[in-house]
Amino acid sequence: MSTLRRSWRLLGIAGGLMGAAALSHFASAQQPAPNFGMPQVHDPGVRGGSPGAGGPLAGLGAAELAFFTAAANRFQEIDSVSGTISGENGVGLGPRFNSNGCGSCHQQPAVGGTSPAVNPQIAVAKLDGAHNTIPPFIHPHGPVREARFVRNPNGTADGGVHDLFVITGRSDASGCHIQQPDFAAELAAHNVIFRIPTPLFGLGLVEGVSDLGLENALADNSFLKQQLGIAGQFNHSGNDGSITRFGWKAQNKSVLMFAGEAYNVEQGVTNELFPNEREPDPSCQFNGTPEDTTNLTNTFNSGSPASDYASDIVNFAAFARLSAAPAPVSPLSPVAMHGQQVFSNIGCQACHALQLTTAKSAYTGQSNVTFSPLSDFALHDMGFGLADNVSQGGANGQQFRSAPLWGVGQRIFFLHDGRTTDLVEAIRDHASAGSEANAVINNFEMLAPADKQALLVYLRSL
Amino acid sequence: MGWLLRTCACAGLIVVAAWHQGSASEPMPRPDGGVVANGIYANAYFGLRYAVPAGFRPGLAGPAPSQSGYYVLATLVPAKEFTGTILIAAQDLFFAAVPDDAMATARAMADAMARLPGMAIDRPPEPVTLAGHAFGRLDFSGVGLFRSTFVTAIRCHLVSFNLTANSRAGRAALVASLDGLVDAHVAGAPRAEPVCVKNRAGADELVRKVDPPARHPAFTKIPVRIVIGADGNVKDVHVIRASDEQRGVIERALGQWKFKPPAIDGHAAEIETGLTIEFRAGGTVAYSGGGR
Repeated sequence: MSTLRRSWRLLGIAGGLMGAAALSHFASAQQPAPNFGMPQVHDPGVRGGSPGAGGPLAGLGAAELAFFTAAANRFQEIDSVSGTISGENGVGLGPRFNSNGCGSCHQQPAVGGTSPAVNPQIAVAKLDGAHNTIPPFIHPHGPVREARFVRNPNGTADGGVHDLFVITGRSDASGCHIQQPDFAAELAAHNVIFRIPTPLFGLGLVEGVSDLGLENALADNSFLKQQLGIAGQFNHSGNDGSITRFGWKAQNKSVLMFAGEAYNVEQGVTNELFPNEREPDPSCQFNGTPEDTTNLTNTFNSGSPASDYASDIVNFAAFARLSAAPAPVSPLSPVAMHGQQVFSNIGCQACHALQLTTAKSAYTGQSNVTFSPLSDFALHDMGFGLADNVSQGGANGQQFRSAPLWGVGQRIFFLHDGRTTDLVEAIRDHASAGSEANAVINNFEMLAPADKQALLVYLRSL
Repeated sequence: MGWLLRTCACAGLIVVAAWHQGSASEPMPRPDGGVVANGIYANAYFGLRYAVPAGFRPGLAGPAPSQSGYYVLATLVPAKEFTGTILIAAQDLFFAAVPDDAMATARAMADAMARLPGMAIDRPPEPVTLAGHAFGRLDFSGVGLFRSTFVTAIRCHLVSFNLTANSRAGRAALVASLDGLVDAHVAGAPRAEPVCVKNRAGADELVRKVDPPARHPAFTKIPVRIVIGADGNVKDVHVIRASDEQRGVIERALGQWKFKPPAIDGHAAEIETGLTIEFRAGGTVAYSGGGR
């Protein structure tokens, strides 16, 4: 049976998943031209059913499970300026912020995930009397976004996060009068790029892979990469030179560092890793710093003393570290299994590597665990089409970490800036001048429609 | 002491000036300097000319050379219906843990491809000669894509032609197009390029070394190829991948290096070799030989 005929039979098994493609898919494709006249493919859409994520790692001990449960609750804490507003008991919001709780942005398909369908930033902008203007790139059904400016006013490189909102006007921020940045002007000057939240599930496994394990995995499929124009390199800590692996540019060393930075940058809560306010206006400083500290007395009584005495950021990190990897559909359908073969054959797995293994772990049952993040956690040149012109550590403006694809079946928004909800468009956006993915996308374009569709079914099974 | 320092500094300036003059007047070809013009892909560094198949055009530009010395030299795609692609690539053997023999590479590729579920090896690795070069050839296919890789070693690089089509006939046509590959070197004439030699930039070969000042980002391995003239002076510094700031300081510093006059088989020779530079925390600089 020819490949094409076999593929069509598989498509039949899929139950007619294929539908008419929106022409907009092709309008966004930069190159190459699709096979006009052939039936086209479509993103099956966000997979329904149970989240398949959000629970603890299998095999943890009782104390670790208690820590995870308590940490998950702390993760959902909502912050106000001084913790004095009912239902917003967390301390330290602002003076500038993007949202008021970790769980507000890390929500899809479960707490700890990524941007939800309804953008919580719309509501938080006006909460408690705040009178923020909604920036033009924030939409009720768009992705949660942070904004970074590419350049400073003097033309030097910026790259830092400029929070969307201020506490000015809030009932708990009397006397604070700082203003939001003029995002409309910055947009007009093409000086704003966006990032959406990355899911936190399974990050303890990622943290548990040794540097050598990552380097070996990168080298392991070098012959596949060499035929596809792909190389890759790791980002490194400027402090100790070890591999960094968290964030869109793999700029963060650990989940604790990730949590500490996000708490300060996204919510404005100073903490033991980032103890100083980013906004200097003294009229907007309402608390002693750091606002999040190790607790010297137990006021939580959660059932996990470790959680109770630990700071918020240690709890946030514990929640991420002890959370299980997203579970794919099991068993995969025949079409999805074929799609997995397409995924490996055309070269997706050259970067979205299939398997990694943890080293010896301090956590119960987490040593020598093989898992499938579908990422090599290396940086790759992604071309002008995806470039954000922001450098972080050793990553330049065109480089991004291979986004881990575990759980992608239940994500709504794709790519670092959440520019699309369409997997087909996300795949095609990997191709542009200067991208390491060009040959793989060329392979995708040459596939028979049924094989393309099987790939999409596989991805939505993850 | 002050006189000595002034003299050394002055001598250094003269060397830098001389090096810059040399490189400005006769820029050396670089691996990624190939271009497509008038239906020919020509690469002066590797001395290759390839007649682009009829109906093909240059595709999207590839990424910048990698930290491991990997280059996408050219991508060729059909001007109309998208039925096949050609990717010409090179891997600098000074900076990657790969076999330095074409057939060994083809065999390793075959092993890697055979491990992919559903991938079939259509034609086991075999030696072929194209344009006077010994290539290893591998054909494989899966999910309706038919692929061939031809790989050969030139100037301590593995140069590969990676052909992909969505039909067997399409692949056969792309394979046939390699008959249009020629070595630009004139038969009988002496080769002008330097001899490539691994690990010849080490301390035991150095007469004078000037450290580049540290530049961001730290802990990033920077692959560098240098051409050492028969007199031991550095004639060319090719910083393969680095930030702009790093590139500038490395070019200036290494241009002042001087080596013992290199010799091959007892005869003075111009050579090219590689080394890896890494800026560490605290502004220190680490070198490694570029060997594997």
